Amino acid sequence: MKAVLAVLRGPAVSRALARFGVDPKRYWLLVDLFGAMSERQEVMDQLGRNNAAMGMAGIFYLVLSGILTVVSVIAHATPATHLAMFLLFTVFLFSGILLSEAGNSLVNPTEGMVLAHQPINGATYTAAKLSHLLRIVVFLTPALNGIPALGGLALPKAHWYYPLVHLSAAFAVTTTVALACCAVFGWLMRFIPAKRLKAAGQFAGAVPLAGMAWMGQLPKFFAHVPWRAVVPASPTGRLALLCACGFAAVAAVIFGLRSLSADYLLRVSAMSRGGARGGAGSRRSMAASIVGRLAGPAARAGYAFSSRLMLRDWQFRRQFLATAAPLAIAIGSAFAKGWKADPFAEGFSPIHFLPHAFGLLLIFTCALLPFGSDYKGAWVFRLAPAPALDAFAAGVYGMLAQILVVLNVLAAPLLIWKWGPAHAALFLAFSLATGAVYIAATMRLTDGIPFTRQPDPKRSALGLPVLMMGMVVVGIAVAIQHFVLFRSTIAVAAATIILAAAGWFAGRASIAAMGADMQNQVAQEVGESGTIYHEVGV
Amino acid sequence: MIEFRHVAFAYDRVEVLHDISFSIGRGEIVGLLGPNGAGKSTTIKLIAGLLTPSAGVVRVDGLTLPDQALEVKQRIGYVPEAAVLFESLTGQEFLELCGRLHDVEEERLQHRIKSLLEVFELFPERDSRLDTYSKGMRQKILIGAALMHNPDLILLDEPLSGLDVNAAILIKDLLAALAAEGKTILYSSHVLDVVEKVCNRAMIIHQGALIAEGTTEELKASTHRSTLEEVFRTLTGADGASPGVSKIIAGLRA
Repeated sequence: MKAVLAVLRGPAVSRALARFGVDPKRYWLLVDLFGAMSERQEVMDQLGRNNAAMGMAGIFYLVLSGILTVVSVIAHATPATHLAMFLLFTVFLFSGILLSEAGNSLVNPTEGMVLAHQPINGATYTAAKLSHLLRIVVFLTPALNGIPALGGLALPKAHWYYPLVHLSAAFAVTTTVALACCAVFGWLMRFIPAKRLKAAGQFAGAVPLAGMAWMGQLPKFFAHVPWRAVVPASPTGRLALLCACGFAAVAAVIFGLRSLSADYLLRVSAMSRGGARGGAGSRRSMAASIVGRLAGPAARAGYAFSSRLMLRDWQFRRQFLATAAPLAIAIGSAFAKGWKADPFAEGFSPIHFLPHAFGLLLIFTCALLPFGSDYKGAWVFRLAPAPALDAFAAGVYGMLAQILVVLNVLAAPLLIWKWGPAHAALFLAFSLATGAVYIAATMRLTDGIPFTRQPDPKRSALGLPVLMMGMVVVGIAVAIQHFVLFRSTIAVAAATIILAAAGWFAGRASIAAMGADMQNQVAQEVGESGTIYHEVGV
Repeated sequence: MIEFRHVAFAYDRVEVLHDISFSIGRGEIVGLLGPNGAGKSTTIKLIAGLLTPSAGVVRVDGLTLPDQALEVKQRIGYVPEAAVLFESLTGQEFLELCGRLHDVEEERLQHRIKSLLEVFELFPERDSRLDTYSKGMRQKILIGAALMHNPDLILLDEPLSGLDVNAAILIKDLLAALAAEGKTILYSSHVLDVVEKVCNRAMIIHQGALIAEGTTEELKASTHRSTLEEVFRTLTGADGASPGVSKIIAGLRA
């Protein structure tokens, strides 16, 4: 390993870097800096994954690819199909990971502010950032494609060199995806004003996941494309079109990367001035007033704090968009397919998924709620009296309940129109009661004061397995709804009452638990801050 | 050393600096004064090559910005108003990073770091991560980082923020000594008495315009005031008791 590093940092590589306008000395300084910061978990989830997070993701991909390989071998897939399937899977998975990582890494105003006045040229900085991202490629590509490459030997008509071909193709694909992801941000930086860059980056990060959720619609979409009008009939014409598309793609990537290396640091540091200077005016909320009247001023503070930061906090929005985009498509799809079919009818109605989709949305919200960009503002809570934190937790509950109510109210008009008021009201009551149970359960995920911690990459690595387990639970619940409950209105009404009661009592317990968690966090931070005072000798 | 000719700058089409012209010679310590939001930090960022003027010419040591920003950055030391640091690095590591980015030779770098940390009384904490440092300690690290490569031009944006009295006195003496060495210093501050004592010259910016420039004695004479604070209040329209104070008290009583 040392020998490899010596070669990498040797004069030959330095000369090659210099040819591309990269200053080798500063390049390695930055590579080491980004590596150190990732390992020390500074500005977590913004500077690439640390080894622990990548290790967890790697193990998950090994297991997942192993299962898929077994399926492929049992199904006697041809080597070409096996390769194509895994390359497609790799492209989708890596575009999600790398677009998000490139966004976190490249659109980082804090880093821009520290480094913008240092004598670093754009090419050097971009090269260091790309190298840092390539760590993910080098680590995760074998994790996802190692077993399929070896397993390919068990496929019919597979040559002895199949693993080499598979791994080479996988590395080529992932490197291309990494460069393309960076190029996307180059384009954004070139054409999007600095103050809109953060939001644009968040939306760009959510696109692949939304695309994955939309994949089921692809055959329908392609069926409607007038291929004959678009694709030339002659083979020469097709080849020319393919070459033109390839040339345009390469040019787009090169232009994007060149844009990154222009005045990149200045534009990123300028983002710190961007944001919600306008349009973020304080509005009086009726819901906040209601929460205040029901549970006091501290509850109102909890409601206002969490609901406003949900809209404005960069870290929350970034992570939420990435997870909520596919879920929003799933909700839209369940609603679009299911709103016409009465859940009390004989056939299965996808609308059964709706309460659980809302619940999953609340799970994501609560899981992401503790983390924020301005976590250092947590000191404010150190000064709050302990009972105020209990009431504050009630305010957070009120905010989550409001989301649930709004989602159900939005669905109400169509359901009433299609199913009649009785069935619609019963279904919505059932949905609200189910949602109350979800809120009570998921509030426990908000471990401490909302928006007061740095994002934890280990949690995001666990997201997919947890989601898959959640889907299994949801599947069971939906089966019970379809086969047992929605056979009679009395059963649904009884289930609704039981769920509502469970949601109410569990909700109260969760509010108390969250209040206690918040007090523990404050006590812990006050204890830790003592070390600072010792160090400055006060 | 610094030349500002008819410079204007706008954030999102809102012009915050209007047609500002001044020049600062080598070895001068110039104070940049003004109320919050007047444009002091923007002026400093323009000189540091962090912003691009929407009109006019900015030159540093004969180099035109933003075209020669990289060369300018080699020559300047900059203490930003916000103490943004890589907090997972230690004080020693952060100073090493800044020195190495400026190509300071390793032996000289270590010597400078040791001297600075000792003078700033940070040597025992050199291996502690910056997230455990107090505000004053971070400010000292920022000042140290700006001086690490022995720059010709030092841009200081509120450098005394968070420093204790002894450290503030040390910085004032250091600035005077650096100016004697031929360094050029542009010092933005709200602390008027420091500017009065340390700087050869002061410039007052108000609402994006340079409204006064000269030695403190010249400014006092031209406004017929006896202190720089009175000059400042007169020129920025804050003469007399602030009406805001009575509003705050009335609000607290309500």
